[in-house]
Amino acid sequence: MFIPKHLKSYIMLKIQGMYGALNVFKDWAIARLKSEKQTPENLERIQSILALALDAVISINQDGIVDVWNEQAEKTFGWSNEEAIGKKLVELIIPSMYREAHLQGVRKFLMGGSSNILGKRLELKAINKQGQIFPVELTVSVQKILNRHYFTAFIRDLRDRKAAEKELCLYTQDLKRSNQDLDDFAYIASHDLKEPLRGILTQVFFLLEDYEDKLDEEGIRKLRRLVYLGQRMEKLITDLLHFSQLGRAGLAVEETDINKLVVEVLEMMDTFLEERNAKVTIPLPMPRTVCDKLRIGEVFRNLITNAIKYNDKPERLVEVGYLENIKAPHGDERDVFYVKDNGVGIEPEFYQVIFRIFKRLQNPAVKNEEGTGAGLTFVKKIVERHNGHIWLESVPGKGSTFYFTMGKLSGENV
Amino acid sequence: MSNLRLKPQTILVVDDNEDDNESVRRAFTKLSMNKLLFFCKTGKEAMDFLQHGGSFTETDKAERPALILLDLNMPGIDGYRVLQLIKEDLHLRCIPVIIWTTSSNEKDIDACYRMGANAYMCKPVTPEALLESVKRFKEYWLETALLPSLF
Repeated sequence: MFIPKHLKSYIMLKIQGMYGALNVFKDWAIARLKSEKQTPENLERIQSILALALDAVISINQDGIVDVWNEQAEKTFGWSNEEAIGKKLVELIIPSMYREAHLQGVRKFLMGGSSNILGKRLELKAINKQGQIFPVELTVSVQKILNRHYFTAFIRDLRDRKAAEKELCLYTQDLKRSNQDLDDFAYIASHDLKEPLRGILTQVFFLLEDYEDKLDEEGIRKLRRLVYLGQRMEKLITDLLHFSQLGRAGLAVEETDINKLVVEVLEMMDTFLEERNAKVTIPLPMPRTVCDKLRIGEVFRNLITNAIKYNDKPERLVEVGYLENIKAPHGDERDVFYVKDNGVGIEPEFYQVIFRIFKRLQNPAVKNEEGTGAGLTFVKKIVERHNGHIWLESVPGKGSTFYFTMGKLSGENV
Repeated sequence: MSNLRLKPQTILVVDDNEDDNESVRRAFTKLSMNKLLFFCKTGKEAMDFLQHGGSFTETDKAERPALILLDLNMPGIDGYRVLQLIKEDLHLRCIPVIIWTTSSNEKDIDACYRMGANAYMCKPVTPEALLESVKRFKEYWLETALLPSLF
């Protein structure tokens, strides 16, 4: 069939137009099909979800014009829905210094580039109607409908959270400082209290030496009592000083053979053990553990000493061991060391009190035992410095078991 | 030829604590050694004594000590500084310095030895323990160890 040339190009143009129209129709049809379930009820539900969201939900088209602006967006940014719809987003919520970067990012994405914003949770600065700039958390997603891009942002005002974080941070700093002050105070007080006390003791010794023949028996007895009290006070101050140093000095952490450590501790205590007819056993080997060897040695020494001191049995038995798992009063615990005795035991009402510094329990079965009552306080402090827990089980008259754990030691503890 | 060595003349005690100085004097007296002691109550006085400065410019008043007992906690020039000054001084550095303090802190002990202290002793509290300490001090530093010649 002959078709004149001008007509041919006209028809070609028409067909191309139809193809274009078809394409548009195809996109529309797909979108329509996808939204087939979009009944009026569904639409209303989606509207209500947007309205009730506690995050600002804002959508813009690829020209940056706002077409969704929910209730929370009104609250967060101060612009009403009527004010915001149809405006350019950059002019509503993006502080002027970030506007150019935002526009460039959108342009780059639309030209097929990548985006470092989409699909991530970001913390940025936003501006409200009043011109206040504040931190927000933001996620942006992109939709492509009928060949056009739409960007939707979920934005959360971080002002409250930031304020809370700041408060928490200040509180933590305060707490750290007050703990440090307390440790420093204990150190300085105990250090400086020692000197005049030594002076008092020295003067009493001079008195005893120089006036021995002038004083009667009663006078000498009173001076000796003064020496006894002074020396006891010195012991308390020394313990206070040691306690403050346990909180101040860093831990010298290394991998430690606990079996060897306990054996070393027992070797140092051998006269004490012999004098009191005490027997310490380690039924099963214990694992190697990362800890401050010197301090954990002190923990075992104190626990074993107590196990023997507070014991009225003819044969004082102590068992030192390790358990992989155990139910503790505060929950399940793993990697637990224990020191178990057949001593006098402790009533449950004293389970917490015994860890208080200089607290000693009265037990008629245990007499003539010297001590300041600081041992368990040291033990607890050391265990806590190792991020561990300490607790006990006891049957009065039968014996006690002290359990402790050591947690992971980070650089901060070292 | 040890008889060529001079008998020790003076033990310099540098300590601001009067009670402790009195205790030391008593213990040395019990061992009939109190004549050897010379007390300085500040770091400044001790350095003047050793370097013939201040009130010690006439050298006959400031005989060079054979040993120095040095307390750490003193107001002004403290024991650490005195130790440092002695060990920096070419003429004084050979005199043994024995730290004499109430502190048994590991850090103090290590710091003093690092700075060149020759021994570190803790002051005992009771007179019995002090006398025992001074006896051992005498046995070691005056009867066992050979000290540098005094000039």
